[in-house]
Amino acid sequence: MRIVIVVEGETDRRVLERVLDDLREQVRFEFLVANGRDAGRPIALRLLLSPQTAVALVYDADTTDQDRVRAEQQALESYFRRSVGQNQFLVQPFVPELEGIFFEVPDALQSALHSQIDSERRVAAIYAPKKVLTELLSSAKIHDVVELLENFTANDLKNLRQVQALQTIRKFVTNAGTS
Amino acid sequence: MTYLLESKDYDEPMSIEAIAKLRFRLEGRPASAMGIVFARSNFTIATETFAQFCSPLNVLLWSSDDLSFALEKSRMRTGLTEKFRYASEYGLPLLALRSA
Repeated sequence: MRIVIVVEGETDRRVLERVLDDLREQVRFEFLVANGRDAGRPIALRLLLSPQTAVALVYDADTTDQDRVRAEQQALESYFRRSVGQNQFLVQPFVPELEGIFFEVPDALQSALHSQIDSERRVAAIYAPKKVLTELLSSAKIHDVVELLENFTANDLKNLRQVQALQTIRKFVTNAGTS
Repeated sequence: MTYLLESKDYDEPMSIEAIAKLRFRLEGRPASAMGIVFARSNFTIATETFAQFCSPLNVLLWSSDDLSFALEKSRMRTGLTEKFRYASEYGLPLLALRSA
């Protein structure tokens, strides 16, 4: 079984690569980087038309409106379902952006940044995690999220892997690899 | 094969309108004529679905990503052939060349 995770950009790939790397002992999977969500969709569909291929399309929802997130997710699922036969697929949004995963483990994030995150920024991060994280990284003189992840301890990474969206991707990869 | 070309230089993902207009122009041409829409952005799911379910499928879509890829790899001609084959085989108007 070929397992492909289609992501929106190189940073997303590098973050997910780090978060999923422990699964490589059990399953083989690869990443394909698209230039944005609308570019990733037809790439994922083309891959799904190949036999024995499972595809996860991972993207930023760019909204915190749960109705819009669900509607878009359902539209994408319908889009794949009407053309694809037996192959497994996953449509997984990050709400609103992938960078939001770091704010779901605030203790690990603060430890990696070597500084506290004030309450104002925590609230702002719910709606614009990428922007807030960029500011925090700049203040901490950390180049990017990949460098930030290098500051995560094994236990921090373990906690990060418990984030719901990441759990869903991990489960999909594991199930596809063993089916 | 004869193609009618339409190119759009929009920042936002392409809407249905351009496809509908091109299909209207194709109605006045021989049945073998096909349309191609080149976009500097990508296509919305609605636009792609519209192009897919129009009968006959006679418009091929080239997204920004396809153009970048084909120009970088000098694959405009083979890209067009691949897109036509994909449309013929699967009934889909948008082959992502990066995945071909």
